[in-house]
Amino acid sequence: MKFLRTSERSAGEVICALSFLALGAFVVLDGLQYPVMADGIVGPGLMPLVWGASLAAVAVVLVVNALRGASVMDDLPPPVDGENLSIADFAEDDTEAAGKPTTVAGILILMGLSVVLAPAVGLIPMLGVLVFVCVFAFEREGFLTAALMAIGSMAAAWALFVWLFEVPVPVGSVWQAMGF
Amino acid sequence: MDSFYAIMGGFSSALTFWNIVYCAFGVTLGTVIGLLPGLGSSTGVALLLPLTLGLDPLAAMILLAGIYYGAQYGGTISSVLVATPGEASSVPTVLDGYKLARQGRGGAALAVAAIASFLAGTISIVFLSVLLVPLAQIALKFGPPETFALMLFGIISVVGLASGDRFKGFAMAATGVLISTIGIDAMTGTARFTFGFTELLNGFDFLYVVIGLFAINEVLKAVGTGQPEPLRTRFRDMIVTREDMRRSAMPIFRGGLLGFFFGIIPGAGATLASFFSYDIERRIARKKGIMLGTGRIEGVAGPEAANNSSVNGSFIPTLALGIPGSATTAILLGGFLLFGIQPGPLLVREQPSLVWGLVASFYVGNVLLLILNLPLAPVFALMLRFRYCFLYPGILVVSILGAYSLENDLFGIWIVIGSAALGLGLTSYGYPAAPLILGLVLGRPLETSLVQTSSMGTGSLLFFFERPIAVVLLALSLASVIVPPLMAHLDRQRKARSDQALARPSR
Repeated sequence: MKFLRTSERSAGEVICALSFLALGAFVVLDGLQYPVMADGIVGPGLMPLVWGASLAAVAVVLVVNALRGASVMDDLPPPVDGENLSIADFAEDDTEAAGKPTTVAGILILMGLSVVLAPAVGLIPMLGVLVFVCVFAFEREGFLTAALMAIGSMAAAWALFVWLFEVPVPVGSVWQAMGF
Repeated sequence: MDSFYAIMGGFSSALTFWNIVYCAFGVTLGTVIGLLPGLGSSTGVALLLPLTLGLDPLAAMILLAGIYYGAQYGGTISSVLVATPGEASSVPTVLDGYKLARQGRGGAALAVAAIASFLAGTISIVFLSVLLVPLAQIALKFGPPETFALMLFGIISVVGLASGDRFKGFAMAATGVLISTIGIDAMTGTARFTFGFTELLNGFDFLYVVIGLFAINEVLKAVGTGQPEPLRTRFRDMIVTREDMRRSAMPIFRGGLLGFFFGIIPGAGATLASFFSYDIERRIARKKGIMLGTGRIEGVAGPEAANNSSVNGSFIPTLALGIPGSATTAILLGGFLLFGIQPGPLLVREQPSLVWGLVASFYVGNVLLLILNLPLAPVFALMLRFRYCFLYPGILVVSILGAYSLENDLFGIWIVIGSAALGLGLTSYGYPAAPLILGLVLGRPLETSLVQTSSMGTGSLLFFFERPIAVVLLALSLASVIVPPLMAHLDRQRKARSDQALARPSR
């Protein structure tokens, strides 16, 4: 399990907390256009108002905690044996750093590209490209291994989703124009 | 006696050929998912849920629940052999399990874990069968005010118990509730926060967020982190001595009971159950002059019994009250809703074959897992040699196609990508994902019950105070907000005083 450096954590904590503050404030302000009471009962504006305001209030505490660096009990080193453990050491959603930044960014960009190009090239071929790039470029496995992985993934995806579950996956206008 | 006949009826539903096949498939897949680091039961259920929508609801739930408790077994294998828990609830098992494996007793540790899980699962299923009906009958007295108060209590207790920082948990839960308000308001038909996107009129399907937040987020966290080499274990190492069983008996019993009651509490879940069980065993062992953490079988038996038992326990609030006990049951709750089934007090009465069939399938699954794990744990262990770099591209493909297949629309994949990116950022800074899912799933019914309550009170929310159960639940919600920080504060003060007392003589 990797842990973020304290300086990175502090900046990130502040950004996260400010984002929640902005979201809460936006929901409250934008939610004002919806009535809090309608026809004598609770209207569509009450939930956004109450939860948005609550989020904003909690976010203020988070911002203060982040600025004071007080909220990061996770900065403690991980336990090494069965002694001196606390419940927080086993929290369900443990604080973990992301994987390699370039790989993470690459995967997200490739996923986005798959959606953008799916109507033209087809969703399954684009996912084949995604698999190939992940294995060949990010994981530095051989060309043949990556190609086999990509072909295998496309075949399995086609068998499972198109053949078995009959999902109408976009086939791609390019292939249709070429008569496939 | 009614429960006895009901569970027998459940067995007749669960023991059909195809339901046994789905159960066997679910527990086997769950074991594989649980043992592979980077995957967990919530990821597995999130990935498989879209694929089960074409099945009969009972078969789908048997399969998904099988993945859930199968993953608890699987998590043990990687904890013992690689010191890398596949599930957070298997973390305490690493402490003694891995040391046992290094001493050449990994097979015995895995066998005891399998037996402990089976016995504790049996204990918890008996409790589940007995408590489900009375709890549902109490809950039948619930009207909209009580339902609202119960849901609020569920959300707040999950925030209070499941994560280290309650403020972060609350921020995520509130975000979940706010996301649930996107789309057409069911009461007045007002379109809220749609920003002109027609795709948003029907609101956010929680499954998109689940796939992004759990399945893809886990991939993004795990890429490039590497994996330790697993220790080998063989069939002949799976032999458990009489001494092992004698030392494990009481930890299994204690863990089974503890796990079940932790499972019932929304938000406490398997992770806290296994940790508390380990802590109790550590204290008991210390009194006998034994140090846990040095490779003791008690340190494996107790937590394993607790985490398996808590999984069954967590189905009580999910089925009887419609309040999920854990992140995975939150996803399963959403699954019920996708099938048009509303978990809650009426479920036991209206869908007895579904509820009792599911409960009976837990027992069938436990037997199947014991049969699978005792002889086949070394075979499953071979999968730990499968490299993650070949695994995660497959997870991405299934996630994206699974998301697309929900509404046959590419827009949903954008929600998945957005959830994954945001989730990665937030979970990296300790923001827990489970409260967001819970807020998202419960947000709409929470608002509906609030509107109905205001209608009952002719526009006044003071009507809550005319309903004693609602008042008690609202008071409990308030206590859940106030008591934990107060206790933490008192604990810090007590620690500070004891530190000062320790420091004084040394001066």
